Order: sequence, then C-alpha cells, then structure tokens
Amino acid sequence: MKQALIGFCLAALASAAAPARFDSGAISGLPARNIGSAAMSGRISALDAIDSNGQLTLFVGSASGGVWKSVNGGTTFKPVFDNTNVQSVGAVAVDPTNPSTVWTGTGESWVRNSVSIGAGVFKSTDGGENWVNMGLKDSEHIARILIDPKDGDTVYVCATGHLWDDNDERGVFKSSDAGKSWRKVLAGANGSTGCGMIAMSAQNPKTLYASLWDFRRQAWTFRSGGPGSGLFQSTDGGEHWTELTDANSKGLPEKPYGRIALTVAPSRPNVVYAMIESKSSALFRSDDNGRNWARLDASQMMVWRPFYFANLIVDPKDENKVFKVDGSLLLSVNGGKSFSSVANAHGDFHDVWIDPSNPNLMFTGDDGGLWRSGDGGTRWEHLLNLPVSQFYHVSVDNADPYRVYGGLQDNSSWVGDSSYPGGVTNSRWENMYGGDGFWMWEDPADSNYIYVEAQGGELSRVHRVTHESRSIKPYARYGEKKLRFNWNTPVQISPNEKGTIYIGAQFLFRSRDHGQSWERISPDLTTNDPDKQKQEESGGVTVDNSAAEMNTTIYSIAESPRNRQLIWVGTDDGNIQITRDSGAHWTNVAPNVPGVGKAPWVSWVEASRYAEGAAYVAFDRHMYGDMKPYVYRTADFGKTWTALPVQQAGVRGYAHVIREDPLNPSLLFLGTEFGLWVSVDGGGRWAQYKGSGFPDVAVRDIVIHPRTSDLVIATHGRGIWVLDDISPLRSLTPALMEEEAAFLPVPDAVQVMETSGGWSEGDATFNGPARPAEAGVPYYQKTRHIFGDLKIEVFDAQGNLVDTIASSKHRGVNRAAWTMHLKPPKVPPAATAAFGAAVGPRILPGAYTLKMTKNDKTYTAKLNVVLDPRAAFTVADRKAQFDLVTRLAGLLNHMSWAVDAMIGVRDDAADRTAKLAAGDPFRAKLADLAAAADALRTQVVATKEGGAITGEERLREFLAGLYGDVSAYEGKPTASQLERADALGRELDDVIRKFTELTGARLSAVNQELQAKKLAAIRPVVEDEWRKSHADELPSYQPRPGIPLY
Amino acid sequence: MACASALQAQTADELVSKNIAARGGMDRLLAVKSLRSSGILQQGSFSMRIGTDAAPPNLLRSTYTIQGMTAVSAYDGAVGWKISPFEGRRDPELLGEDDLRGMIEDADFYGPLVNAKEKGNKIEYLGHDTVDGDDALRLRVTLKNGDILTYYLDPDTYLEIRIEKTQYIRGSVRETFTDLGSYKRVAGVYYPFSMETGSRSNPSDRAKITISNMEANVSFPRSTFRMPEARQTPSASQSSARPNAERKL
Repeated sequence: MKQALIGFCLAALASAAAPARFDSGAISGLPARNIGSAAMSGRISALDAIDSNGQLTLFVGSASGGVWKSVNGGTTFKPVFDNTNVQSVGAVAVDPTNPSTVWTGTGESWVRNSVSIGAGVFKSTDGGENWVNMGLKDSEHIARILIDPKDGDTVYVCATGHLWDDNDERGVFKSSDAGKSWRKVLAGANGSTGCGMIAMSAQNPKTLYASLWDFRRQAWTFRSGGPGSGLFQSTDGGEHWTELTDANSKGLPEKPYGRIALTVAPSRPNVVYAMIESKSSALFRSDDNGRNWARLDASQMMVWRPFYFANLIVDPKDENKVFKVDGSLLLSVNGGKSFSSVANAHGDFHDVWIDPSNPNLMFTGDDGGLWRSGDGGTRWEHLLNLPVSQFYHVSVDNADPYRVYGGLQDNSSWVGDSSYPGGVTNSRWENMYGGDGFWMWEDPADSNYIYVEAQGGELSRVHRVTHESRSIKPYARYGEKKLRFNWNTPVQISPNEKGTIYIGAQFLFRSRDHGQSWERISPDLTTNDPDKQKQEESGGVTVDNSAAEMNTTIYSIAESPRNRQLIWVGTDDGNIQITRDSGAHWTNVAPNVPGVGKAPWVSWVEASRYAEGAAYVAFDRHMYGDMKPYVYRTADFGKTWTALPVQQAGVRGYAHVIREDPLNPSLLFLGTEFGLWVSVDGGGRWAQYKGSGFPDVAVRDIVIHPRTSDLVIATHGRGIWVLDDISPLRSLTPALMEEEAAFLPVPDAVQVMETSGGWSEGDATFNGPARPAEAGVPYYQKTRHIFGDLKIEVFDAQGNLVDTIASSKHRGVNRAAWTMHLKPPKVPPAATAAFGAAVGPRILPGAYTLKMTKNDKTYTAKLNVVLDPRAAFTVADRKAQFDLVTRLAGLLNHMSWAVDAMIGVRDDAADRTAKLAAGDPFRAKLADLAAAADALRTQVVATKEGGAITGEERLREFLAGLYGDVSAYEGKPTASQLERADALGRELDDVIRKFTELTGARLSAVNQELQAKKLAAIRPVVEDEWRKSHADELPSYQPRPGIPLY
Repeated sequence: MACASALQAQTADELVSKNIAARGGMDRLLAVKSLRSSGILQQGSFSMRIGTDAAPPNLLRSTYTIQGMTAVSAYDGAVGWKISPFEGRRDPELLGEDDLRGMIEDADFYGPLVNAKEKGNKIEYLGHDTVDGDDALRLRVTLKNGDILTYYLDPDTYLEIRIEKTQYIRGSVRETFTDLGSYKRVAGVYYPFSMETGSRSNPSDRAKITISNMEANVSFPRSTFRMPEARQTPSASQSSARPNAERKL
C-alpha cells in the first residue's frame, strides 16, 4: 500500500509540474450507463456462500466480470471486486473460521480459448467489500482456494498457471500466515504443469488431494495432458505429497493423464471422487483415502471436455449424492455409479454450491449465469440480476433510441434498446440466433433483416420479426479441404455501399446481394502454415476441435470510409494485407511493422476516415504469453508504421480494438483486456476511463453512434455500457486543459419525450438506466471544485434569467444536467398534495445562453434547445401547449392568492373574535364572516383530511389535474382541454367574485366596529402584495412575450 | 502539496485530524451549538424546498415543502418521528426502526469523525483510491451499530468529497452515496453547500441538494425536535389547510 501511495504521489508530483493532468480524473467525469443485459448473463466460474441462520451471503465469481456479492440469497447483487485491477475469477472461498474473511483467486481456470487472466490471490477481511492482493501475481489462473477449517491462517492455492507459456508460479501453494507469504508445496514436473484441482474434507483437513495438470494452449491447438499430470495426496497438511500410482494404490487408470476433477465427501472424508482424463476417462471413487479406486461412470457427459468441466461436488450430508459439472449438470445418487442430467438451464456448468444446513438449496453457475434450486437440483430458477455478459462485438442502428446489436460468448446474438422509458430491463433485449455470438449488424439495405453469426463463420440473415433464418455463409470450392473461419470470424459492413458485406475465412469474400452470392476477392491472405492447421489433433488426451483453435484465418477487415476499393485485412497469424483495387491485388505490409514480434493476431484494423493511406492496427500477442498492448499507425498505406506509445503511457492488457472518433482525428479509443483508454492527442498520451465505476474489464469492441456521439462499449464480462455523448472529449486540447475552467461545445439539447414505461419487477432483475432526459451542459475545470459556488445560469434570448443549474464538481470534464423545466406553479394548500402540478412547465425550444460563475470568473456559452425529432407535433403546437400550461400555472398561482386571501379573512376574524369578551355580540358576526370565507375556500380546495381516498375534488384538484394532463403531452392541447381551462378559470373567477362581494359587503361595517374596539382591521391581501411576499416561490421569468408571468 | 501531506498522513488518526483542521479546527467546530439551513432538493424535474435544524449532540429536524405542505422527519435524541402530510394525514407518526437507524446516524451533530472513540466508532485508513478516476484518500468508519461510512477525502484539502454509507438492516444491506462540494464557511467552519446523493449506477436517479442559507448558533427550543401530540384525526376530517399546515399541529 505504501508503495502504491508513493507511486501515486510521484505521479501526482510529476503531473503537477506539467501544465495539466491528462489522466483518469480528467476524462471520467462523464457518466456511463450499463444496459446489461442480465437476460443472457455470462459465464460463472466459481461460487461460495455462507448460511448464517438462514441468511445467505453468496459470492459469485464470474469468468470475466469480477466477484458479485449477495446478502439476500441471490435477490440482489453488487460487484465488489471493481476496486481491483482484474475481473477474471477462478476461485472464491469464505473462511470457515471467520466469514468476514473472503479469498478470491483471480484468473479463471476453465481455460477455453477466450479465457482472460488473473493477477494473483486477493483477500478481504470485511466480507468482500475491500480487497488486498496477497501475491502469486504471476499465476494467471487459479482453480481453487482452500482454507483450513480449524486454522484460518492456513490457506492452500491451486495455481493452474499460465495457459499460453511456461511459468514458475504454478502448482499448490500454502500459506501459514494468512497469505503474507506462500510456499510452493507441490510443483509440477515441467513449466507447463500447474494445479488442476485440490480438495479436502473439513473433517480431516490434514489430508489433501491435488491434481497436477500438464497443459498448453496455442492459437492453433490445445493440449490437455502430458507427463506432468498426476494425482497426488498429502496427509500432513500439504507439506509433503505423494503421487498416487500403481505402486501405492489400486484401480487407477493408465497414464498419461489429462485434467483431473477431485473432491472429498464432506460427510465421510475417506470417500474421494476423481474424474480422471486419460485414454480411458472415467469417474473413480475411493472409499479408503485413495488406496483403492473403483472405476465408475464413464458416460459421454462425464468425460466430455475435461479441461472445461473439472469439478465435482458432493452433497454435504450424503456421500453418495454427487454432482459433476459438464455440458449438462450431472447428478448421481448412487455413489457415482450412474448419473442423470438434472438441470433445465443454459448448460456448460462450472460450479455448484449446496447449503450445508439445507441441502435442498443449491446454486450452480454455467455459461449462462447463475441458477438457484430449492428442491435439491431438480428444478432451477435463473437469477436475472447479474449483468456479466461477455460481448465480443457491438454495432448500432439509426433508430431513436438506437438499438444495440452484439454477439456473446456461448450466448448467441442479441439486439437491445439503448434506452427505454423506465429503463433497459432484461425484456428489452431479444435473442436473434444461437451458439456463440460475434459480429451482428442490421442490414443497412433492409432494416427488417439482421446479419448474425455463430462460431466458425456460421453466418445467417435473420428476419427481425419472424426470426426466419437463412444460412448465407460461403462454402469451399470443389477440391478444397475447407474454408478456415476463425472462432470469431470477422463480418463487416461496407461504410460506402449499403448492402455490401464482407466475411473472412483464409480468403476474403464479398456479397452485394445479402449473401445470395459471394465473390472471393482475395487469394489466401494468411501464412497458410500447415503446422497451424492440425486442429483435428487438438485437445491432447481428449480430442477437442470446436473451431476455437482454427488458425491461419482472417481476423479483421476494414473497408476505407474514404475509398471503397481500399480494403485492409488482418490475420491471426500476423499478416496485414491491403488492396487498393477492390481485391484485384493484395500486398502484405506486416513486414513493415517494427517491434511487434512474430505472428501476432491482428486484432483490429481501423481504416482512417481522415486520410486514405492512414490506418491504425492493434496487435494481440497474449497467445504467446505476452499480455502487453501493441498499437501502430500508418499514414502511407502500410509502407511505414509508427508505434503508439501505449505501453509507455501505462495502458494495461492486450489490445482488442482501436477506434478513431468520427469527428476529431486526434481522439482515439482503445479497448484492451483491462479496460477502456482514451487519447485526445492522436495516441501520444492515454488515460483510462473510470467514470461511473467502469471496471478494468475487457473491452472487446467500441462503436461511436454517428447521430448521438454516444460511445457504445462491448465488454467481455460486464455487458454493454453507453457513455452518452462523448463530444466534450473532442474539445479536450492541451490548450483548453490549461484553462482554469471553460465551457466545452454544448450540443443541441433534445427535449426527449418525458414518458414512462416498463413495470415494477422488484429487486431481483436487472434494469439499466435510460438515456438522460436533461440538457447536458459540458464544461472543464482544471481542479476539483471544493470551495464556494460553481454556478451555472441559463438565460433566454432576451437576457432573462431562466434557471440555475446544479453543477458537478469533478476535476476535468464534467457534465451538468439541466431539466429544462421552469419553477412549478404555486398550488394552494389543501387536504393532499396535487402532484400533477408539482413540476414546472418545460421550456420552449430555442436559443439560450449559459453563464458559469466559478470563483470570480464567468464563462458563457450558447445552448440550443430542440424538439424531440420523433415528435409528431410542430414548434407551433409546442408553443400552444406551453401557452396553455403556463396559463394553467398562472391560474394556480392566482388561486393560491385567492385561497390565502380567504384564509386571511377567516383567520383574522377568528383572531379578533378571540380578543373580544365572551358575551360580546360582535363575536357572532365575526364568526359568521370567518365561516363564510372558509365556505368559499372549500369551493376551491379539497379539505377532507385523514389519508383515506376521499374522492373529493374541487377547483384546485381539477385545475392541477388539467395542468398535469396538458404538461404530459407536449403537442397541441385538445379542444376539451382548452375548453376546460376556460371553464375552470371562470369558475375560479366566480368564487373570487363571491369572495370580493362578501368582503365588500361586510368588511366595511366589520372594520368600523373593530376600530371602535381598537382592534386591527381585517384586510384581504391584495394580489400584487401577495405576489411580492411570495416572490421566492413564484416564477420571475416571463417565458414568452405576450404571455403573462404565471 | 497534497502528496507530501498524504505520505505523512498514513494513519487514520492523522487523516481525521487533518480533516477536522481543514473544516476549521476542533475548537471552532465545537463552538457551533446549532445549525439551521435551507435550500432546494431537486430530483429530475421535481424539486422541493428543504430545511434542517440541528443541534448537538444528536438533535435533528428536516423539512420538505411543496405546495404549502411540509413533511417533517425529526429525532430528539430518543424518539424519531415524522409527519407525512401529502396524502392527507398530518398526524405525527413514529419512524419505523429501519428508517430511524439512518436518522440517528444523520443526527450526530459533529459527525462520526469527531470524538470517534468516545462514540464507539472505529476508523481505519484504507489508502489511496479514486472517485470517478480522480484521486482520493479513503477512511472507513465503522459505527458502533456496525454500519459503515466510507469517507473519500480530497488529497489537497482533506475535505470530504464522497461519503458512502452501508447500513445493515436486520441483516440486509442498504447502500447510498453522497458527493459533497461547494464548501462554505459558517461560524468559521466549512460545510458543504452542494450534495448529490442516490444511485451509483444511474446518474439520472440522484437527488441534488443545494443549500442557499446556513446559520450557526441559532436559538431554537428543544421542542423543535420533540414529537408533537397526535391530533384526533377522524377518517376524513375537514382541513383548515393553512399555508404552512405544520403550524396547525
């Protein structure tokens, strides 16, 4: 911590010397919205929980979206790992000796091709709220953490280790001092062997079982198994380990082994289960602490994909009830002899937690999120509050609000609303396809159709409404073995021609007729290295060739926005190909890129929209164990390349996407495995975006909406985020950042319809925020505003003060929100509040001036307010509505005066009465006056109190209701509304006239008598005086010439 | 320079001392015997006038006014109560235990950092952190009742820029956060005049409070905080509906 603080301070000192700080603080004042979805959710890798007298605290480790905590058994969750620098979770474990201590092993150990990496072991001592890194930072993947149930300081970590290269920090590690130090107590035989699983029984924690796993993934192949794999036992708390072999145990299969799933029955520690991947993979059981093993179930699902499903869970009370996670969730109730598939859920299960005090209560996590069973695993409920969805790509359409399209790891391809009245709930997202999802586009030539794909280039065109799906992928020609489509096959839409679509195998294909036919517009653009094309041999001990290892493929495609004949292609084996004649000739310019290393994945090509020869390329070398980002720029069609100094600028994580802003060539967005980074100077300096708690999550794709300038971010682990209108970042020049404060260019304020939608779903489902309905007022300040006012005022075209806006105090870019509403009318008090009139009129579209006062300096800017473009009404209609609303507001103010005047007469009469002698006959006259005044008041306002539904409505309630009705729709009022306004105005006048008549008829005589008795006269308050005395509650702004102040 | 100070201020006690010094110092702080403030609360397009009377050690009365009707919530050091007139009832009602918990915490006049040990509050320094990417120093205050307040201090001034509150209500958790700014000096002590509170995940779902007036050492009777006698309210009695209905009580 001290080291971190010193680092922070040195950085701050350095930046203080610099003219201005360009860092996270400078750019993160713009908020972002997470719109999910949690409908499909994402892969859950690990679970643990603690049941404290029926109150269940649950920790959910997600594959790439952090740790989520629920303190109510799964009704609500919150992300608790976002203050760390990593989101991939392999293990979570609550200390059985102290439930406030929670451990997380980062780096998922279900090491599929798209798996992320971790940063070691983290510990929380406050129930998961705050975390400290406890070391093993180079382990990258951790399968399990065990805590000695009798000694919380003794902790075991099953460190699986690097997936893509050798490393030393792998094996079984033990700490005897609560994580302060670690000893490797079980090491693999080679650099590719780590811990596959570890298990012990709480009843006998000195006896541990661990599997070592020899494995390696490369971009083109995977190997599970090797000489390092084996099954081990320790009987002295992990200090010494013995491999279980034919020499010391009986019944184990012949080696070599692959991955081994392991568990010990909690209720009988001599019962051990192991699913051993071997040439004869099966479940094995020992009833005597590992000395003898019986070969049990070897069904297809039991032995399917052992690298991905190496986990066994035994019921806490019944040693014969065993769950095996796999493609299905398997359950045996006969001690492992046979299994049934029990879960009607997404599939691809990874962990199960069973409540020890109520084994019927269970949770399981699979590739589709978290599931709960209350009947011991027969029926399952999907928990819909975990937005850990793993998007690969995102696109948008031009609807208003625009829709968001994207494909997800093992969760198909979905379209969702970027905004919806009441929020973007799960139901605002719709599944359009199947399989693993990747690129997804609305067909620009026919918006009824959507292009979607599943893994390995399974491209289809789907009807948006009927879901009719037509496969349109190109096929191999006669004699060709196959087309090589990447797991994440690139599909691109031409930025120049509606209806032109590209897909890349080893060749680039183009269709101009919605996939009816394809032109092959390139030769093989890859290295075509035969050594990288042996996927049928992939898998190691168990063959595993799922398209995830397909290599020597095209991985990125970009048609230049400036020239449709200029196309860039990047491959997963290091080539960058360019054609300038629509595919007739291709040149590999990758050899011109210095310093990127051999055969990286060209993860992104961004053809510049500002210069034909310019492009950005992101390289990904994590499959060689190099987790650093690489980003380059060319300005000469790839002849020369300049490395952007992303590593020097502190960017973390391998690079997935680099995007150029459509309006400012200096504004770049970079998505890496560890977050979102922004440059405002063409790539020289970079700052990580951390607004709204945006975590260090993998950013796989970014799109900037051309109409709204929203930055739509596809995260692989935390769903879609929308950073509404990034246009303020376009102005963040070094010169501007030197200013103490400044308005940034203020975009038109669209008066988005203030509508409502959705329905209460309680707390257990996700609901992402809708887009803001306020006018955004962006500004910059060099330092955080701590002292005194930071005032932003709005003036109309005539210079009248319209409103004052609450400001934000953040350092750097800020956005204040103006509601665009005037003060509400003053409504006379009555039995209940009239909420229909609790909000002031919405101002009219037009030109306004902003004035910011910070300390003793002022700044001004223009603000243009416009109608919602979806509105069917005109500005003239809007003015008619505004005029009626303000007229009704004026009537309510007028009514408030009248009621106060009546109350004044009534109360004054009562006051004078109280000052008279008991038998004074004048008392009756005053009482009668008071009663008459109050009787008129009861014609104006409802007066029945008590909190029941009285149904009592008087002029106030009618008028406030009418005000609310007219306010709720901003177009032309109905004729009935206009007539009703006239009628209510007249009825109010009638009562006021009666009041005037009353006071005119009686007050003269009453006051003469009061004067005679030396008591103060009763004088109804005059409206002008009343307005002056209530000036702070009434509008001082005259919204329209000719329309009176309301 | 914040960092030099921050490096020295490695303990919670030192940070608390710096925070109190930044606010004006303990003597000035304790010299404030009452506070009265008023302002506007805005949530979306809805706004209301608010007011607060407070006095040590833990007296608090908050008011919320629209359309001449004023809701009250108050704590007199022993009893928490409210008046919610907007739906037709003006009788004082006892606060539910869940709501009372927050009221009691808010009523701590000098705040949980002042005389923390005597109050049973435990304060820990959690180190450097960020608020929306900007630097902050973090203190965790565990109240005697187990609730947790996390203070984010500006590293330059040591004043609070964010407070996160975690309340444990019958085992369940309630979490809120408040951003603070626009500090102004009242009776020699800095108080925030701008606050924004609500949901972290939804920027549009936040209440913004702007204080327009604050006075220290205002004299008000203790009855200000005491729960009034209930009126005999039939199911639907006729209201006098005075502009400030609360006065009727």
